[in-house]
Amino acid sequence: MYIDPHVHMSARTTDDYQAMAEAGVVAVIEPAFWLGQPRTSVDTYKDYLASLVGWERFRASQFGIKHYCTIGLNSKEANNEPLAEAVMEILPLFLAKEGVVAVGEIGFDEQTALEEKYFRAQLELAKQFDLPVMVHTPHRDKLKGTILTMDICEEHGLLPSQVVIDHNNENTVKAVLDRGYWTAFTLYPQTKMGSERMVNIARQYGSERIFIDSSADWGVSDPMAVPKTANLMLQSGIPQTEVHQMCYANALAAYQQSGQIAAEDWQTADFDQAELFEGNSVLRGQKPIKSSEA
Amino acid sequence: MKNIQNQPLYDGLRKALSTGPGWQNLTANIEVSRNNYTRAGFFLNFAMAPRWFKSATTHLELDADLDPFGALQNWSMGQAARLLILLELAALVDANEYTAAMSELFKTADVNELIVLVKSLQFIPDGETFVERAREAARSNIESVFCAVAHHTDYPQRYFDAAGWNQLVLKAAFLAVPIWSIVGVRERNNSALVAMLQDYARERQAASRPVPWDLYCCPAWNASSDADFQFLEHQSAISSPKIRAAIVLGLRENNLPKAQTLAAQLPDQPANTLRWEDLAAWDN
Repeated sequence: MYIDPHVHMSARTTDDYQAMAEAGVVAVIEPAFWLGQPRTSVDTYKDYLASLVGWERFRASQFGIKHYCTIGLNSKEANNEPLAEAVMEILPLFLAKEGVVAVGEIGFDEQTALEEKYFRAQLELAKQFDLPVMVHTPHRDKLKGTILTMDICEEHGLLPSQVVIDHNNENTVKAVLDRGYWTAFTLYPQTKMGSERMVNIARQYGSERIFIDSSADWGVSDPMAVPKTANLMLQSGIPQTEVHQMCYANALAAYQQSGQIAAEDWQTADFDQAELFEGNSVLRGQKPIKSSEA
Repeated sequence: MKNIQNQPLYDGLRKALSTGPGWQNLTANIEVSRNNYTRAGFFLNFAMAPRWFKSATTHLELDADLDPFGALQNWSMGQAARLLILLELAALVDANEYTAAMSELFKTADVNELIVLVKSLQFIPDGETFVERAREAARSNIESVFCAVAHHTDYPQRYFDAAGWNQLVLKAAFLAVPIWSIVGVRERNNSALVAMLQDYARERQAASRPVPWDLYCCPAWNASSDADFQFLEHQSAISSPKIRAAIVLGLRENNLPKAQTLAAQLPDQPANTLRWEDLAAWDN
């Protein structure tokens, strides 16, 4: 059983869902992010957030995968101040919804003043809604950005146990672990962190507070990264209990603090099954509808 | 605060919810809204209500005349709390704010919220204002959202125009969810719909794909021309026992002598006591 706690399923195909389900992925967490190009209006942002709690959640359920999301204003689009202001207005509407497990992914891209302003504002929202925070650390000037991120979190009174720092690498892992944060790694096929490098990190640092994700999106990425890396770890002699921590249990523990995700969710099929009862008739299963039929 | 329009339902919901773990939270937050209404506060109450009641389930004890189509059967306390919050809103704000807040809620709803909103349309004041939202639900490929508008409610029968009604029934066939139990399916049956359903059956058969058994109720109730009867006779010959029984059942309920004759001639005569709900339980 695996959880992929950071994957942008909206950008992926039904083949990906099928493969993930077959490989044992029971739950995914989809953070709100940018679309590869900047949005020009708050309305498209609203529709995007609505699709995370609506259509995408249903799409995942058709493949037997539970879908959760995080809601936030990403760092790139924080640089468009009029848009960012308008998005901040609508975030409270979505943060209270079922299945929203964190404020995220938020943090820094270029480490501009506007990015910092909206990062801070969203930390306050996380406190107000009693939600964990999913932090995106910058791909450039990463170590400095990561340390700045943690400093700001602490300045706002968040506990490290409430914050997931994602996209770590060999240079950031120690600083993040030492300060008590959840330490997440994104496994990209060619960049960031490959499976072999992850095995080395697991050997060196153990499994406490460490977990992995695919961050698969519209770019070159692999939605099978979690099960594949788990297999590689097992083959490399990392104990099964530690692999389970890094590929399932730690992510669950981190996001369970939201009260919006629990192992029971995928141990009992629900999805409002009562909806499908008609008098005494047999419950009809939800079969995937191919898009060509829709 | 205006009068609650659906006072008996409102009282019934309050009674059912007052035994639940979230009752104090619910009433306290409703009180806050009454004293100082904000749209954001309403959205928050609607979103949070199920959390106050955690996973408490209840079979709401309501008089049959409050819930004539059984929409509230199997509802959880969280869902019932959301309906109560909608009834409160209608009594609290003016018509413009009511429409605007409800529309915004529809636009940003998650799946479970949308199901409650759509099912609530038959119970809330001025439900017909939101007929376009109901039409959107009837276009949904999310089966539980579609069923929220199609089943256990007379809302489409009352408020959908002819085109909307026909698309609702056709979409039920497409999603392979029950047609026979749609409220008003017999009363609003019409030739245009029957033609679409006949085409749909032929299309499925051309692709060697199954046809929903209860699709045949509409053409059987409506059959009057030779072509109508030929279609049914042919379908009976090529289809499953369940479909054969559905065709006979529909023809028996068609008052034309020709329909009665064909109903008696077709093979595999089901018992005279067979009802649609009995047939629904047959294996396909």
